[in-house]
Amino acid sequence: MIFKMIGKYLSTEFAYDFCKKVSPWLLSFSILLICLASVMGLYWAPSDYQQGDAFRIIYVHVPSAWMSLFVYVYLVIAAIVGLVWKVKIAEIGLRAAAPIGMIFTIAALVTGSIWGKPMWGTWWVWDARLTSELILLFIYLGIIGLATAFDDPRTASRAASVMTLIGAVNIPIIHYSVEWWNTLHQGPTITKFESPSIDLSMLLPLVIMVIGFITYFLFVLSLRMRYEILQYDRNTQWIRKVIEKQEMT
Amino acid sequence: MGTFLATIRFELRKKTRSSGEVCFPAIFYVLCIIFFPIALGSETFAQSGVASGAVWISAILASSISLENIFLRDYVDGSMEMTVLSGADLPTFCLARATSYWLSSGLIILATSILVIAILGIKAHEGVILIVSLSIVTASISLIGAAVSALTAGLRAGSLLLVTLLLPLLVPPVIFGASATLNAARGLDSGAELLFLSGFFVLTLTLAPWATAVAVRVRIQ
Repeated sequence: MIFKMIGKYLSTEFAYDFCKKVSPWLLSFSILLICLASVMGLYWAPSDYQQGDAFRIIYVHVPSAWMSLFVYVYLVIAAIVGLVWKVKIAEIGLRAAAPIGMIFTIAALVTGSIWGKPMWGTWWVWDARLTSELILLFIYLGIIGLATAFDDPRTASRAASVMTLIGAVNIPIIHYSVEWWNTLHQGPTITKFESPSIDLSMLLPLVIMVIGFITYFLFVLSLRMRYEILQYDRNTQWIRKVIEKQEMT
Repeated sequence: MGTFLATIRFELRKKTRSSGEVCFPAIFYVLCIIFFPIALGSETFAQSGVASGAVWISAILASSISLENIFLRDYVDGSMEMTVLSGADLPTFCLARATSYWLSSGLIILATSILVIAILGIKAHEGVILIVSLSIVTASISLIGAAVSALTAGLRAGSLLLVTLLLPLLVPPVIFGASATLNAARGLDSGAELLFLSGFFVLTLTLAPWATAVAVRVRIQ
């Protein structure tokens, strides 16, 4: 009953058109929000009393780190929906989003490294957060590797879904055990975020930037969804019609 | 229970008939340890805790190197389809496969470890903790590895992909296992770490066979 009602919206054809419609909107909103947050973060926010202007990389680093987890949560939901209800569009969504999550993780690691060099004096510290972020990157790489290892795209996405869920059980365990390992060995390293709550003038650009990053993620997702749908349904009639229509115009 | 014991008996009989399969993990394990004093210098290697770290790394690599074999032949010769179609209890079957893998590789590595500990001169108390934590961790590796092996066995880059998927998941048990051993080397109590390891093992034991069964079903359709 419910499936009949929402079935129309779960079809790849509908999703393809929907992605095509929303992507220009998402692109313009994300450009707007990211530009606004950059201006606010770079000019309006005061410089930090200890780190000076160098702290301003926070406006790229923290949203990237949050997005790396946000995308993983999205992957878990897509994996459950795809495996339990065998919804094709969820499988496509998983394949489309995994590389974006990987890029956010890399961005978080690189900006963290650039931030760490002047602040801590080295590019890399075996800090708990950094280490668990690095392991998250390898989990993403594994999922992407699995999603591209099969000839049949459906089997590939189901295998990647299973791996996503195995990773989801492990990520909290990994995070806390790495934290425990780190504190056991060297005591807390520089804990950047445990300072009493951040001032509003610094926080507001951060929040806007996070929303901007989410819209940017949705924009890239809509592009990649269309690409994946074309791959999935390449032998169907409606794809042929779409391509013919494009060739006519 | 019948499926479980029958599968284990069958697997072990198959493995004992090809002696290489049983011996190679142990040979690889010892070879791997040899490289640590070579790379670190024998002076560094002699410091407390370094040798047991080397044992840890080598044991983990040796027990994950042949994981692909758990399900490889089943996928290649089509007997996995037969198993799924036969209506056998798939999680039990997967658990039996993981158990027989542990019996034929983890157990051999543990036996070799006793010898290695004696030769490297690791202290008795530290050695006991090392063996106990190694046995829990190798058992967890066999269980998680079975799930990952069911996903990747027989693919083009199967064995490389297997290691890429598996190693990030092994971070927690290795952290706690290695710190249990380090604590023992420093004369501290390592009960908490062993309890955590056992907890991790129980969690793996309850979830991994089902995850493996799901993975098998994903591959066969």
